[in-house]
Amino acid sequence: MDWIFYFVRLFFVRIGDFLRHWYISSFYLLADWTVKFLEWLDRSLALKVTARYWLHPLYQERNVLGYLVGFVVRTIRIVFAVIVYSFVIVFAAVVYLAWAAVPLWLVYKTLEAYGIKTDIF
Amino acid sequence: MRLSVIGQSLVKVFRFAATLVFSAAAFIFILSKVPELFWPGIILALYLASSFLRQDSGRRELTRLPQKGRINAADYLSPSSLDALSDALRKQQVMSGDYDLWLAKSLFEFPEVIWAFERLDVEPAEVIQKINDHLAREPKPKQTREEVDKRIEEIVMRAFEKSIDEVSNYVMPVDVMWALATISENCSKICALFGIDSEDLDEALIFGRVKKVFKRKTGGISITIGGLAGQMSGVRHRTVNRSWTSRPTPTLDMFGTDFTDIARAGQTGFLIGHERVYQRMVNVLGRGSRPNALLLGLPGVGKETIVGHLAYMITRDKVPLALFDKRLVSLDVSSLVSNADQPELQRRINQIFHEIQMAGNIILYIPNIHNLSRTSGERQLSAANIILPLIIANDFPTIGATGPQEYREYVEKDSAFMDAFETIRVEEISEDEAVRFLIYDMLMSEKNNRTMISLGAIKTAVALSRKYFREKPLPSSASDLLHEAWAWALENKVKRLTSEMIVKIAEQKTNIPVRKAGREEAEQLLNIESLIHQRLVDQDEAVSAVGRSLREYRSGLSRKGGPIAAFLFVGPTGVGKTELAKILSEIQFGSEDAMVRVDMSEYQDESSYGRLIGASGGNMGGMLTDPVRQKPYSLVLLDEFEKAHPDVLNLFLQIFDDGRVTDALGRVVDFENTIIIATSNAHSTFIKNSIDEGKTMAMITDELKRKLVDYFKPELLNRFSEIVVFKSLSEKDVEAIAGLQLSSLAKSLDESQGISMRFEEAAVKEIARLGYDPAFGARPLRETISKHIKSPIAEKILKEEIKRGSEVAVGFAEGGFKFDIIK
Repeated sequence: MDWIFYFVRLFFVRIGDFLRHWYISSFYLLADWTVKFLEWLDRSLALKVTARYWLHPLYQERNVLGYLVGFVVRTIRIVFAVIVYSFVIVFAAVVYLAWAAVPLWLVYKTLEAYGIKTDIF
Repeated sequence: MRLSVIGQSLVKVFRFAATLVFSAAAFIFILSKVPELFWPGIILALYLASSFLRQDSGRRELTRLPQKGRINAADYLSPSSLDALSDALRKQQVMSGDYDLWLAKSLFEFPEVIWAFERLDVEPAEVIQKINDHLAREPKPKQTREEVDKRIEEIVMRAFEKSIDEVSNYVMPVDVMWALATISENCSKICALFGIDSEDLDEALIFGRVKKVFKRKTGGISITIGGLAGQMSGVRHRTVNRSWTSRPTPTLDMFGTDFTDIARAGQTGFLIGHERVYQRMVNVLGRGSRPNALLLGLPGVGKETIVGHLAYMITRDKVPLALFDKRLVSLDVSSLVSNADQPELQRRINQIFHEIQMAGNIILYIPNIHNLSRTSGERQLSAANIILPLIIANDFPTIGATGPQEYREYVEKDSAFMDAFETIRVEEISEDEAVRFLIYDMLMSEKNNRTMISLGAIKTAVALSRKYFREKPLPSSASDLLHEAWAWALENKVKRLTSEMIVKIAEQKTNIPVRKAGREEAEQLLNIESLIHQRLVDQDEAVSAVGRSLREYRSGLSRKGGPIAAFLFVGPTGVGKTELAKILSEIQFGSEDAMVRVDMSEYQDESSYGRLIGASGGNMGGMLTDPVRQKPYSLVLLDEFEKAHPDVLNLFLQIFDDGRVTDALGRVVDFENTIIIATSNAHSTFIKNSIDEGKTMAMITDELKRKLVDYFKPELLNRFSEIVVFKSLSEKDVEAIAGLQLSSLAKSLDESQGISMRFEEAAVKEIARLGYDPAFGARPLRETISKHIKSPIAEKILKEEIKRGSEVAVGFAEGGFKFDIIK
């Protein structure tokens, strides 16, 4: 009879695994992708490097113009990079939230189909 | 797995049935379009899709191990590993036997395990057969369920640790196989039968993991051996750095190659070994003052690979702050100085260095930096005079590369050069590192053709290259050998390149008998004394000593770390010491020309040491080291050994002990495949007198060894494999030698002129009498034969008294030699 208990337990374990994979593993996966994508973007937008040299003169022009233009141009670049990175992060967050909502939404639709009203959404 | 066998089987059946039922239900529910069924159907379908996508994944991933608390290692097993463990348990419970063996058998159902063994030149079917044989043995070991469970835990834990080391996501069947081979006695024995140890399996399993490990470890970058020439195609050039703090360098770009561009394109950067050298170089380049590193190493040792790796790390921002966001540019000195007179050269260099200074983000790499100092014909190539002060004056990082010969010749003498740069020696990578490098190299090459290369082939190539192909360092030498073997395999449509094939190619290249002695060679070795005695009279002790050494060498029993054998032949002049060396050279090494002959009487002063190993300026090669480098398998004859200067003799202490010596250019010359024969006339009078007194050879040898310290240091004498005493020749011996030499003459005349000669006994005896001198032994025989036989024959041939087809009988009567021409 051990095997019956095992089988039943396995059923619940599998459901738990499904939820864990859906919510936790996918979160890590999406986070990894997002970080890699941001790193790839940074090779062109160079937010980290630009911020490090924010106050340095542009193209080694060590005069007022070089410092001023350098500061302005780099500020624009940093702002642009921040906007792009923020968009990427927000987009990833939205994707994750949508993903996380899918099982809940399916449960809601099932309950709705059976006439059980809920106020979740 | 704690269920009974029946329980496990029932769970399996019900799981399968449940999957079928759920799949059917999902299918029907979705198609039904009834909302009450449709949405649950979608949920079911999602669950099934998730299970399907994760069918090769464990419950949890190793890359996300919790830092605290207890974990269940079983959660990290891949389904395949779990299946193998369960399957083995079921079989063990039903059919009894050793659980380890059942598990090993189950693991052979997985392709990556099979592939790993194929890489080891082992047929998986043979291994499975061996496992079956062990399982069939009686009496079968009785393992209780508790014992088996405990065993499973041990194996899983070991495999778990291995998977973490390999940065895997799950514990895969290859990890379980490795764990089994490491901790199971039965499995280790079976592996040992096939010549496999855990290290071999470890490396072979890299092939099994192949794509994942390869991509992770190389990061998708290509492997290059031999520099980055021609790598610029399809590479985008960045004129300034990412932070816009630098300026373009058009003149430098005209005469240089941007390694960071190449690295960004993924065409360089892969590095195995040289970690310490790389770190040291980075430390030097990152320091505030004199950030100039000079990489010193033989061509092909990996200097440019290290520089390429730095370029790659710069593109990944994995460098110290001082090197952050820089460009690594290689300056081509030869294009810089070509078509440039002195003022133009000056202008170019000044412009380049001005640009480097203004840019502020350049790391300059000058390969073959010694070219700066090299003079060229009538026009002095004085780039060094211009560039060095600029390098010293400016604090931008510079990397130079040069070889040991050029370093001694051009760099060491220049104190400004030495002050400006920190010298970092780049040695050849180790054999293990070379094997790892070549595994990745071969995996890349295998993409383009279908011939599989076994791990054994790679290891054999590395070992043979290390031993016999010293012209280039590892891994270039091994890579060349592998590619040559590969070309042969492609031509002969061979699907798998094994170590045997590598050995064959290596033997063809070096003429060294690498393989074990075949039947023909074994016959020859067993009868080598008879073969030698066909041309050498008497001296049985010497011939036996030589024969013994050769048999030990070819059966793999000779001492490692020294030459095959080192003999000291002592005896009067003209008794056959050099003759034995020549005969041995012909029998064992192919011809008398395979012998490296050094007359030690030419090295009687201290300074002559340099002539043996080469002059320090690199202008003159070593009279001893160069021939052995070119022909590592040869006989080295050191004539008149006692006449050499003591300092010169000291050189041989290392050669006899370690089998290697470093020449003037810093290259290690390997003597491990040479037979060294030193000849000496020391105490020959003592030998003769002792023989006349009736002493045995053993007694004479013992006494002689004590007396030889008059000529040689005891530590040198101790290093000889054997000191062999040559006897003076008796009259009978000289007659026999005369007979051999006359036969040789007759054979030579027959082959070249078609003239057959035979010598009557009286003629032979007379030649022996005339050709023997107590002081010179049998040495005058050749001259005697020349004077009394060859010369008259030559005259008769020229007078056409003897023609092709003639038969001549040579006799001796009435005080003179008679030549009867029979036809």
